[in-house]
Amino acid sequence: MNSLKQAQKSLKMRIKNKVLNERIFYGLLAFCIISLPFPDYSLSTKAIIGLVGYWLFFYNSIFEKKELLKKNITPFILLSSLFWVPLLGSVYSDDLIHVLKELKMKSPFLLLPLVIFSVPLKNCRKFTLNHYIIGLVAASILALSKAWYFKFNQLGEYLFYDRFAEFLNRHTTYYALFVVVGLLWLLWLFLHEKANRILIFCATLLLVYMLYLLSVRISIVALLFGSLLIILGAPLKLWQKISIFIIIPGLFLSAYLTPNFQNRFDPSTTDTTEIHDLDYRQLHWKSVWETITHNNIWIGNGTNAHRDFLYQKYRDYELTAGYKNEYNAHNQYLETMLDFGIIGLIIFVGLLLYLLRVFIQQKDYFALSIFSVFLIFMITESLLQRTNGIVLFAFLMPFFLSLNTNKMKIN
Amino acid sequence: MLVIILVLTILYAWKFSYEAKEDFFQLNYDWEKEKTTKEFGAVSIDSISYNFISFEERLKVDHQKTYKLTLQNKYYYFRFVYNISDNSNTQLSGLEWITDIPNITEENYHLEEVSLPLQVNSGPTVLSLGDEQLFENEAKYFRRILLKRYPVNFKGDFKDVFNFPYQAKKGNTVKDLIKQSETISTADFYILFFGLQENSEEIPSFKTDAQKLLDNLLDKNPEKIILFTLPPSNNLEEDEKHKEINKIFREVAQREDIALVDTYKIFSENPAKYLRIDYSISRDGYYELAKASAKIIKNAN
Repeated sequence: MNSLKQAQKSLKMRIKNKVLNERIFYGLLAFCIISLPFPDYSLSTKAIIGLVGYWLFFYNSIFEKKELLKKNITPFILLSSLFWVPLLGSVYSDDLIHVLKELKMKSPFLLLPLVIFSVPLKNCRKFTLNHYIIGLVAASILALSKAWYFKFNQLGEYLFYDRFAEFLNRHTTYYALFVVVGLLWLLWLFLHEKANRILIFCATLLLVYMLYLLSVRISIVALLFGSLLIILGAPLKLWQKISIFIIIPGLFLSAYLTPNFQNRFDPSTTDTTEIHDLDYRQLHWKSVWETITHNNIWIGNGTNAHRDFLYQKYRDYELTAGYKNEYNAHNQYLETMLDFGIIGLIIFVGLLLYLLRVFIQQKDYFALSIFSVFLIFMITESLLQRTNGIVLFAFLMPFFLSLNTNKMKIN
Repeated sequence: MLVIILVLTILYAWKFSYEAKEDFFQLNYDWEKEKTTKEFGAVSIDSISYNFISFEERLKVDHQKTYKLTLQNKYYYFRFVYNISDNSNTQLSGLEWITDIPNITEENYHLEEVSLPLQVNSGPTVLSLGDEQLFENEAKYFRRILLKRYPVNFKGDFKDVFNFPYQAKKGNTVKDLIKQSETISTADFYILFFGLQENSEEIPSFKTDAQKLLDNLLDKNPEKIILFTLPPSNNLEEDEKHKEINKIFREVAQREDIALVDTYKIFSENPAKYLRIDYSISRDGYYELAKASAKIIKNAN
């Protein structure tokens, strides 16, 4: 009798520990993206270190880690290629001092897939993304409070674009990316879950207002495509879907007629004159393309190699901001070719096609919508060259992939 | 998890309220003590930029003062470095906008001169004394960066474009500074930056004069005197003169209550970064000087 009671007690403790263990792990996992919108660049890094440390020493056994990683070896290798390719690229780079810094920045591409693919990941999408929304809303309210305090006290007008970014302590494009991901999750919740509609509505209003203040033009396009994909997979009647498909593009694109977005189309300054923003972008990408063709077109110049030729091209085309601020390519596909050539681009596109295939096969419309958001943002931003973009991509893609590959195995 | 998010939000809100003055300079002004000192009435703006404004009237303005433009309950404050006026136009250059930059409209703005003091900090007083190296070109950032790194209160008869007091004039020599040192106010720290205008012929007596200046200042019992050596020059003759003066500075500064900042050595490491094309000190150069000064003040305090 006593030994039975002891066995029961021991089992209860083990279950309680397991529950606590999981709670801590999933909390740390979610914290990796909850931390992103807060005005502290080092917070997400600390979150990842905390997660990796806990995973390494406390979560599951090394044996289980190895077994699960073996089963998920293909997605792991593909996703972590965003780390391995720069590592290989460092071998022929001409700037070894900065290579280590670059590899450190890209380490989430290795660490996050390693953790996610070596644990029996439960379906924690709702838990993770709900808390992401809460964090995003909290960080947004904080930034808005500061901006409105300044406005009410006549201390300056900060409710626009890069001025507003001073309160976010984030580049506008990356915060807009966070907001778009948040809005798409709210849309998904609205259509698929019987969640609190009032809360969803309030959060949506706030985030739409944030998007307006940020005035990042590509965010509207990304939000449009992402929304249409979610609606495609929503439990709506066909005529409802068709109506939405007709109305929504016009509605979203009318955002460009608002004052903040209109101001974003002001001309850009060169050394000698002002030119249309699109012309500036064209010259910018022309400079990048000429640099790509000047370098080794198959393997590029290497990780974080010197870009003196590119900056000289900016000078040749009188792109003042380009050479003064040493702009990157502002396009992830071109950026990849700059450093790693056609081979690097093929590997990158291969990864994207793999992700696309899995998400389509599993009809995971939400994952597809977020994936499309990344693809669109990458047209005008070298998204995977900054920590915010790296962490968000390195977290969400393996996260969705793992949940989907687990589903595939069950089916 | 919700508790963690709440704690983070409160923590970053507190951090912002504590550090905001460093990033948002307008928070350093004592807005409650704002007072109008002169009315100009309605003015018409001809052109505006981030560092320039031009009025379609002749205005009698003073670069030591702060000005306020008002239109439809929106206020724009500014200070400037120098002005050019003729019968029908006034141009103010080297402008620093304290809050926002206004737009040109068909409506006239209302212009006033205001007294807008800076807040008094809890830290020590600092008086920067010397020649044009303390206020011309990028020197305006020196005191601002120093304040960002350590809370101090500046003293002096003149005000720079950020409203920080200082005590320097273009062309000041050591003999001018000796005269001024007899009457200037006491301060916890004196920052000395001079020597640019010394004649090579007067170098033999320079050591005696520099010693006299330091003695006068030490009689006022400061915690420390911070003495900057002269920077490199792109003119060989001038550079030799700077080296000679710097040698004298090193000799007279060999006292516990005098801290020497070797500008020449610091700037020689990367002249492209610390000196502009005309060899005046760049913003990065003033950053280094402010950093060194803040460290000395912090250690002395």
